[in-house]
Amino acid sequence: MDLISTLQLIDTPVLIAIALLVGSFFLALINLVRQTQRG
Amino acid sequence: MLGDALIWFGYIAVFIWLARKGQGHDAMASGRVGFVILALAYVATYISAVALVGFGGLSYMYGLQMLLVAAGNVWLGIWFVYRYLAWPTKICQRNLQARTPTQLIAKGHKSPMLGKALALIFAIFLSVYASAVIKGAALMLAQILPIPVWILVWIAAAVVGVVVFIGGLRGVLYTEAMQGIVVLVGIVLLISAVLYRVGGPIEGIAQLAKIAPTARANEGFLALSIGEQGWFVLSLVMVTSVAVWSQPQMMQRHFALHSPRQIKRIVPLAMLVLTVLVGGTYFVAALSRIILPEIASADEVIPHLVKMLLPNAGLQVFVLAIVSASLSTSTALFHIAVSAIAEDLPGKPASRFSWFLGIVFCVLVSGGSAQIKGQLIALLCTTSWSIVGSTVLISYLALVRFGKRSSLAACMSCGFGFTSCLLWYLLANKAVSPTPVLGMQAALIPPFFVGLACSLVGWFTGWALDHEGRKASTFWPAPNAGS
Repeated sequence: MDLISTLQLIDTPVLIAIALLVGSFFLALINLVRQTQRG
Repeated sequence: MLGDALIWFGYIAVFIWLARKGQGHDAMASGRVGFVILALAYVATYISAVALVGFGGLSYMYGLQMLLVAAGNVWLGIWFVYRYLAWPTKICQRNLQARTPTQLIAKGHKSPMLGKALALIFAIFLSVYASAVIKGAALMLAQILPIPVWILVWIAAAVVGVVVFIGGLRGVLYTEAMQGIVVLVGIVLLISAVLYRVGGPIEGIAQLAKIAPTARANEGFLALSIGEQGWFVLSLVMVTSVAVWSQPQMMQRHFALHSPRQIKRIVPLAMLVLTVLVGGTYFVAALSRIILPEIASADEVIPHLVKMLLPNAGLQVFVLAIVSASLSTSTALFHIAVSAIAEDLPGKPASRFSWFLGIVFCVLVSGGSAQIKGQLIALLCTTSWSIVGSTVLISYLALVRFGKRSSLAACMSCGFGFTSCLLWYLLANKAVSPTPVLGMQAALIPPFFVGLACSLVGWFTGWALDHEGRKASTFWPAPNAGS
């Protein structure tokens, strides 16, 4: 099963929660990498 | 066996070494602490075994809708707190020279009487709440150690007491940070094991979609439930993500900040760790329905999963993680309760002796309460978070966020919040009675919401009545403009 068709199975509020969690994970990761590069 | 012993001895050695970091410091002051320590300590204080084991079990029952709780914790419990509350709290604490969260509220609103009342509430509710957390650690330890639970309870309570006595706030922060790392390692192990077993996240979601709805997940395991069950999940989001703002043990973490720049470094790390901890745990616990048999008790889901999937060394690390989550939360709770007893109630700085007496009191109350198998203790534990939150939140926000101080408004707000939340638990909550006095419809409204609404009414009533106090109510510019 591919990603898009799997995501279509998920209810909107749960999808928003997943988006918020994935977003926080990658945003935080990018920020940490930037901070490390700046020293 | 030797490997297991090495893991545990290593853990205890590092634990004691870190606790000694606080030696020679004031028990209420953290000194200068790095952003990594502060970020991990905040997350470790936030997350206890209740969040990981208890809510993990609920994810098995309710499915992926529990990710709403995780998202709320990350964005409201961390991002919002550090964006809008942490630095204003630090400024207020510095300006008022408050040494404890109780003093922050009492000095801020110029009400020593309110300070004494809050100290009493914190001392009682937090030391009893700590008993539940300590019991969680003891039950987990009993899975791998051939020692009776009641002895493990006293050992855990004594260890927490020793750390708070030796290390003070600084030692507590360092040990919490170390425990945060251990929790992260344990949870990553569990997440990897479950995802491997179910064939990855996409495959897991697809399989979960095929499972028929149940009474709790009444719209299936990929949807928010309708009716009472969905409302329960949404109320969990609010209680765990908003009530946390004014928990004194969380407030106190902001006292250790030393610049707004430090906050910018804390936020991504804390969000990243918490996303993995709660997001990851709730996600894999929901997927575990595919591989686990039907389990009746939510609390048994995570232990069952761990025993099924992890090898012995992994099991030891995971038990260590859950024990760490419990100990880190209970050291923070002890510190606040001991501060309340040794300093806030007498109204003078704690001496080494009063600090020791406070710790003895907390160890005895927590260890003793954990031995009692009764409704009252269980009730106090489950109510503590909501009651403390609804008592303090409005007067805390008014002070640190809006720069408003009024003795009368703060007293009425705290009094209304505390009384209404407690009464709602007694008269309308199904945890107290299966047939609540106020009826089943009232039982749907969480006590925290009622307490918060009444606290707000109390604040505005007190504000309207406090003509004299209002004239000198704004005591500094709204502290939202950085440093």
